[in-house]
Amino acid sequence: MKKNIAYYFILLGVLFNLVACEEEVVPDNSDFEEQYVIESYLENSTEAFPPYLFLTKSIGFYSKIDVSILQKLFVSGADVKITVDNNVYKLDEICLNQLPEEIRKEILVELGLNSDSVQVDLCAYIDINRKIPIAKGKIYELEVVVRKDTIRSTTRIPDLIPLDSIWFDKLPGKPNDTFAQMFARINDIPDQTDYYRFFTAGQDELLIPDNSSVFNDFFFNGQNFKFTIPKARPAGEGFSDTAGYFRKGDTVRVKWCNIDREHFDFWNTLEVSRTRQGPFSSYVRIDGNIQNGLGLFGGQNCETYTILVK
Amino acid sequence: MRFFVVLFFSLFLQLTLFSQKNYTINGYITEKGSGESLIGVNIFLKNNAKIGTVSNTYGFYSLTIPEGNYEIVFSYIGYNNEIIAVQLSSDQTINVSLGSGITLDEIVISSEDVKRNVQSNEMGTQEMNVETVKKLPALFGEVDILKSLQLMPGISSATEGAAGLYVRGGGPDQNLVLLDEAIVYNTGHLLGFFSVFNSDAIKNTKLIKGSMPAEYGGRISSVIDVQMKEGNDENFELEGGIGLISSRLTVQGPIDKGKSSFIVSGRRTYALDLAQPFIKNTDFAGTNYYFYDLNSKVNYRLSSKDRIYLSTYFGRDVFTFNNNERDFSIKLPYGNGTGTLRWNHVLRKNMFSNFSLIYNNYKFSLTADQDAFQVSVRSGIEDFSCKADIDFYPNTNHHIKGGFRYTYHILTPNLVNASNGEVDFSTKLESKYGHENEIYILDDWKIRSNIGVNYGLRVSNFIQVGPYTSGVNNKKYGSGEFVKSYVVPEPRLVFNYGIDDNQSIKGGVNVSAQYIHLVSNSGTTLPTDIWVPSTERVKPQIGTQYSIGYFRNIFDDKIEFSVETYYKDLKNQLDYRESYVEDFSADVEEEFVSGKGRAYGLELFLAKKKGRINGWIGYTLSRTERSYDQIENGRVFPAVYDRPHDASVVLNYEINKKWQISSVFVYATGRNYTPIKSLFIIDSKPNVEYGPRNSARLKDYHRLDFSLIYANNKNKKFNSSWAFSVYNIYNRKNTFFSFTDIDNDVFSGNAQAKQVNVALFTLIPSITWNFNWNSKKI
Repeated sequence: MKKNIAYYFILLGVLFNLVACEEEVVPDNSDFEEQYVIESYLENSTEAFPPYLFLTKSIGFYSKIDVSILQKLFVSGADVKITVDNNVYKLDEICLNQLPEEIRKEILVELGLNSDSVQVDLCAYIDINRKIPIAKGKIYELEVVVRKDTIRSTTRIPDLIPLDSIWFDKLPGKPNDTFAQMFARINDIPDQTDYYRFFTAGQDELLIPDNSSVFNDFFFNGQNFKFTIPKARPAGEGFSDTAGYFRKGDTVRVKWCNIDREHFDFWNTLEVSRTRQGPFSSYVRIDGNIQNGLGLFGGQNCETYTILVK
Repeated sequence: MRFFVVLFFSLFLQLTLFSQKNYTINGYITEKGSGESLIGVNIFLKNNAKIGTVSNTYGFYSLTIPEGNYEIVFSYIGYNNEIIAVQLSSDQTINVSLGSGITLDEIVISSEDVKRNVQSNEMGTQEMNVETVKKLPALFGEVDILKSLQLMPGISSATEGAAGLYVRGGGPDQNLVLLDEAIVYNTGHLLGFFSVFNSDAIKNTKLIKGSMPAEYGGRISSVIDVQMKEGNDENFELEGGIGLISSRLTVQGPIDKGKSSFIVSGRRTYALDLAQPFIKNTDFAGTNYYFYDLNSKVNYRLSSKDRIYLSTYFGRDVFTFNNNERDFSIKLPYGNGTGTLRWNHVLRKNMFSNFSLIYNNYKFSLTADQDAFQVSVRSGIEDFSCKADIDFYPNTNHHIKGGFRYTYHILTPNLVNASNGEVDFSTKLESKYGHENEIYILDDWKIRSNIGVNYGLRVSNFIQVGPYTSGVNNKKYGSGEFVKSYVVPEPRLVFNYGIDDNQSIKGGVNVSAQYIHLVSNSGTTLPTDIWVPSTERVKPQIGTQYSIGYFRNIFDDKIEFSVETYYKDLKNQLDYRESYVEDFSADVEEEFVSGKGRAYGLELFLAKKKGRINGWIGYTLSRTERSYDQIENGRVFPAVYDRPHDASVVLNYEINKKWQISSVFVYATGRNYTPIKSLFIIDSKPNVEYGPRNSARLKDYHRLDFSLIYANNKNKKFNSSWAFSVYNIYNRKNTFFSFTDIDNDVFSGNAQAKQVNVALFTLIPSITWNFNWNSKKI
């Protein structure tokens, strides 16, 4: 009987090998139109970077993205201004290669990048002297003038609802001596919709967002809420049984932020868009908050926690 | 409207003229050997074939003609003709049993059968016989009625291998799918790859893609009317089959011979059941997927005038995933259930009535748990209906039909309950409720021997009722309280002008309304898709279709040809807003945008129904467009259903009594999709910006299938056959879906992006063994 079943599966295996078939294609990309792309954050936290803005251009999808192409993406010579409390602040353009190597590395780490693998001279517009007042409740207006184009956006820094507590517990299912699961608790504020984003880092690792890094408080509005925080999986790391768990004995970090609705919509649509690859999926257009361009101008109120995994 | 008043006035003048010295012959027409009612049998006078009628859905006929002596012919394609001599001096009841032709030579195909396409007052209608379907090549050997309909012009598949239908540019939700009068909301198993209709339990399938008569409503694209078998009332019969992925078994027989019968038919897949011995000792023990269907029906003849039927359907897809290593499990069952109780009553010799009580539902649920965390999601739709229809045959020139249908709808959105071990959470969404009322009258009128018209009026009404909290002004409505009401008059008209006996011109216009909607984000319907009612914010979809066609039979009715054109105007079409992402916390109707659409096309159909070599060629040239003010500023874009060219060639050859071969060739313009326009860098990763909606196309689709059937029929009680089938015999790699592969380490300078097309259904052979046992030697 088992022999018969084995034959059956050999047959099915042969059939399905015949069935699925992949073919790489180079589609028509002739109607590509270049657009400006903004990535800018205003963060209220003790460890925050000064307000900065990357101004790049979109590129055709099917290009091989080598260093020369990447370098040309960065747009120089723009006039970048942020207005808050009726005061206008101009951001300065700076490229990382202009900086001493140690500072360059430090900045790349703060940006969540591996300094050894970055081959491009990243250029950004920064409030180097931290003149822009960063505080919860403030509304910030962005204006970028580049050549004949003007790009605008607005954001707000919401209240921070910090983590009430963080702890570790055993993994669900079979016992595991190596890994632990992270739990946290918050006291959500009632009568308002709160939007959250989180980042995690293992020992000596970069703080990176999870693939689903944003959520709102619809299910637990105004409640004291217990939940798990999964360890973010770096790009290219495959799935495993212990994905999302923290190694015992490591000192790890969690960066916990509150963001506004537009900021949430951007990441929510972007993260879903990245996962929409199946046969029954439809595309999701990323919902940015930039007028006359793509991307995000995002305020966030954050706190970073460092914990030993027990 | 004035037009209809004039028509009805003319009708009653006609009735007066025909009301003297006429007598009525009526009765039921059944299949010899099984007692199954035969639908669409031609009944006509031998010496004047222009005078006749057709049996209705229940096999009932009524022929009112002047006093005299007649030879009456009962003719049905694939069956031997029955000719009965009648001395008509009073009303008579004549029940007739037709025997199917045992050999090819014995089958007499009356030209009246094949002339129906020319002479009837219907257009855009296709009937698909189950025996025809069983001959055709089938994916994985699974015979599928809905997929066979896709081979007709004007009908295409939602995605390759899928049973979902796009009919003349309409979406899958715009088809009214009826199983013994009960609406089937989700017609697919396994993400739509197999239809829920088990061919062994089905007697007849009729698809109306054009001018639907006034008796049908509730959807704006088409009607797929599926009738279940009634059960053999003379002998016990066992029928079944064993295939690569599923098996089927049907039992039928008399309860009270000649008076009452039953049929029970089941089908279940088992591919993953066979894997269980290998899974049970792993961390994934208990993981499984299967689907099943169970059809049953009983009927009882209370008297010569009364008959009752009770038919039910229950089907489920069940997916279970366990990861015992991490104490994680998911259970996901979903499916339809229907139940129909019908009472046929002959009110008068020329008046037939049917009263039905109908229940149907579609339910989806998902439960997942890990450790102390639990999540459950459920959604669905549930209908309670009653309907009545009366057929009135005042004379041979008129068939008047009228009736009503009332339905109470309960539509449940995604209701989520979750627990983290401490607190329970749930969405605050509420089910929605509505009353749908429909009333209609129609007259199928043969004005002259070569001129006919089928005209009617349907008036539909939908009332949204509470409990409901308004999304417009937050007003709370109590249980049963009226929220919003819509009334739509739906005039229907088909005319037929016969140029001669073999050719005619037909045209039609029909308006239809749809109050229950399903908006899908994918190209086909998925089990997770939610049906929503018309509400204060969601207006009913309105479709108006104009069609005209030329129909011709040539070479002594051996060849049937038709060309039809249509134009559809679609109002209040629904889609999701741009950047929509599923959000369990929001009422899904907040995410809809409303727009308009149109579809137009030309359909050519050439069929050979007679002879050992038979088949058909269908070709469609069409366009389907949509536009929404809130999507790309109202740009008109091709709908996902848009297939400019669609062709199919079906060929059957009966080599001898034991062997027959069939082939199917299908060609269609590639499916459209929204292309990626550019890449942009955010968070050090490349992200995609999409171009205009549906502005690119996959490569053209085509494939060739073959099937070979060996039947060992020796006129014994037990017969069996083998069906060998090869899908996509030349191994065409038709793209099923595309995905993009982007290297995330972009600042390393070595990143590149690729698009990969995936072909899912390349060459697939299959084999199925079918058998039939009958307690009486045929």
